[in-house]
Amino acid sequence: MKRQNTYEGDQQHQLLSKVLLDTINEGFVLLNEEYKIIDCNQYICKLLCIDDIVSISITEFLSDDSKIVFQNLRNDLIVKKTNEYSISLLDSDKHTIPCKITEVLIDNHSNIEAYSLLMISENVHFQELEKESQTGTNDINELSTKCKSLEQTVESLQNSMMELEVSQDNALFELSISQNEIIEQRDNLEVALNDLKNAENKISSIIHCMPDAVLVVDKNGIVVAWNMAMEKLTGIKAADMLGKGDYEYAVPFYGTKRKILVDLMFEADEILMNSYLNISHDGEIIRGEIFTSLLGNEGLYLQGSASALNDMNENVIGAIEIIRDITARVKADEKILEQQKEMATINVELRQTMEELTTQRDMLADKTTMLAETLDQLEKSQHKLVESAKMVALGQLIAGVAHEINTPLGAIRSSVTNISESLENILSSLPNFFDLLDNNDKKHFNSLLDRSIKSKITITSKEERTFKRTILSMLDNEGINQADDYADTLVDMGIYDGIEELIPFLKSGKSDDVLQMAYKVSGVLRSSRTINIAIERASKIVFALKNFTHFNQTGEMVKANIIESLEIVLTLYYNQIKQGVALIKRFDEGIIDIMCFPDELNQVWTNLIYNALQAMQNSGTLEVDISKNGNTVVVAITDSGCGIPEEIKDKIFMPFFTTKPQGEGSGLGLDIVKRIIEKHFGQIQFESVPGRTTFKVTLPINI
Amino acid sequence: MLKNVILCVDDEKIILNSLKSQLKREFGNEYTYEVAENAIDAEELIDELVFDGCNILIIVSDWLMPGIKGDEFLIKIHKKYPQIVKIMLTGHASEEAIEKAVVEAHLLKCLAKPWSDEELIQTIKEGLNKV
Repeated sequence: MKRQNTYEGDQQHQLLSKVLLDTINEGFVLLNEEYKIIDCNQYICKLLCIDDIVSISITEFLSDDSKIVFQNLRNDLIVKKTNEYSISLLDSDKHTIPCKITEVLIDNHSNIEAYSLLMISENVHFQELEKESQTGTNDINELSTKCKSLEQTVESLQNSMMELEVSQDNALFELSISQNEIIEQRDNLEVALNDLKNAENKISSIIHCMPDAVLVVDKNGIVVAWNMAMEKLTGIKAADMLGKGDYEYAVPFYGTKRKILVDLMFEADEILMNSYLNISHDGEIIRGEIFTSLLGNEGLYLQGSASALNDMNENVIGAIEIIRDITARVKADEKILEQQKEMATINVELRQTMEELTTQRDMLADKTTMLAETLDQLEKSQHKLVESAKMVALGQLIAGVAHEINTPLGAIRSSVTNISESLENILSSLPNFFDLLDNNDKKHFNSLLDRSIKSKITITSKEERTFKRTILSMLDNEGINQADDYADTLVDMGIYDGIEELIPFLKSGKSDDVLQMAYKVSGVLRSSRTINIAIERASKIVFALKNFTHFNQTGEMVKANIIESLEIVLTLYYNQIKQGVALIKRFDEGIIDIMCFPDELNQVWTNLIYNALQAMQNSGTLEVDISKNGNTVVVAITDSGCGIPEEIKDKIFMPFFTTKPQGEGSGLGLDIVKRIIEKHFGQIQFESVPGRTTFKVTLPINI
Repeated sequence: MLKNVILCVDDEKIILNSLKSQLKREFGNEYTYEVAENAIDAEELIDELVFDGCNILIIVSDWLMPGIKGDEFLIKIHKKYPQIVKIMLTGHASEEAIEKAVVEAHLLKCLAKPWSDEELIQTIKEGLNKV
């Protein structure tokens, strides 16, 4: 190393080193990395018998064996820095020169071309030995033979060695590959394991977090999973259940240790299976439902889904059961079922109702038809009633009217008979009668006849009786035999006074015949007068009736006089009024005709007057006032009857309301009155206290 | 002197006059003919006549009269004087009233106005026969 440093000195130092090197009995060769000789000293040139060996590869001067040694050792140089070995050099004549070589690595050779320095010295001992061996050639040959065989052995060993090395290399390579594979597999396994762990964790998490309650048991029935939902469902913590066996898991559900659905995975059990409702098989999964009263406030309906857990060889290693609370669904189902039942009931009821309704509808249809008919009849009846109400009013009149007409008719008929009979009698006896009379008799006859004819005083029967009694008394006093007959006849003839003058005549012999003839002759006249009165009376009635029912065919209002209208009605009631009723009429004669339905107004007056007379029981005072008040005519009919009781005052205008016994009144009288007045745009009011009831009808003059 | 009386009751004077003429013409002075214009007067008259010793044979009464109607009047008289024959002569009377008079007053007959001479006389004679 010292020399090397010297060599790397300045030029002088280099020259000195060169000389020194050239002189040293040792060869120095500087090599680059590719074995090329960069420099050398003289010694080596001499040794090799070559003038210059620079730029020649050192290997040119090495035997084949030495080349291998050299090259092999060169590889270790970088590590060992210095190698010492013995090799053989070849000179220019290819003579072998055994040498001892020390090769030194030149540090930091990257800056220069030189890589190593060979220091070569001639191996003298080796030469001496060579000389000795030459002397003992046989030995050497033997040796060489041995050597060669050794060499061969070595060579074969080397080959074996090499093969071994190769094998080893291969083995190593394969081993390394295997090792890699193993590592890889191990890594894979680790990953898989990790994945598995993750998966397991994941599965655990999933099971733990599943919304359904989950129970997992191993093949020994030991609880290995009891998730959160299960805790919540049963109120039993996983910590208290995990690891437990012997059907402990059934306790929260059944209150006892027993088999549950999950146990069907280990052993078929028909009875157990049948204890569940709605059992179903979905592949490996068995589902069933059951009610437990131990959970929830009012018990719970639970649906279990059990499945076996198998390993890769299809061996059962456990089972899982997922329990779901289906109470809400069952309740809903029950509710639906209940509702369906209710619906069915309602349906049945509805059908019944429907049938009933149909029946009722049919009945109603019949009834409707009947009602329609009834209504029709009622309308007719109503019409009839209205008509009959009119007829009642008229009928009430008819009693009077019939009497009123039949009475004069009776009088007429009777009088006619009297006249004809009397005339017949008179005519046959009159000539003889006159022949028998003297002048005085004739004078009395004429006087009696004249007085009778001229007698127009209408007196009552009672007054007549008084007159008769007076006359009878007078005649009795005069001692006249037929005083009673004479008195009666005289009164009949209307001769009530001047009786004294007649007494001498009545005492005479012919007085009876004369008086009888005078009575008969004057009787004809009296009968005629009766007939006249009767005809007058009958005519008045007929006129009133004619006016009362004068039909208005056009249905339109006509002008009519209210006073006349009322007079007609009063005439019709003459019969009733004249007996015991004082009629006071106060008519404003200036009342003009008004537009009206006269026959309908007659009905109004008829009703009101009839009611007034009824209220008074045909005895009292009837006041009829007709006056003008602005643009209206006011008719007030007042009676002195008992009055309208307070409790029925608001009912009297209601149809069919009547205070009369059944059959007497229709109850429509005042209803019709009101309608008629409303038809005339008028009003009807009444005031009533006992002894004075006034119905006031107000009719507009200009409609 | 005992008088046999036929009494006519009607609120119409013309009827009474006609009736009396008719009866007088038929029966002459055989009977006394009395008339009254209403039931009250008639009742008074009957009592008066009976008091005077008259014999009332027949009453011919109208039905429709002011105050007391014919049937009521006849029933009342019948209670007092059941022997008097009662006849009704009317222009209008309800069936009920006639029925009532027949039952309660032993009404001989109800004649309708206008009446014929024959039926009146015949009925009166019939009544007289019953006396």
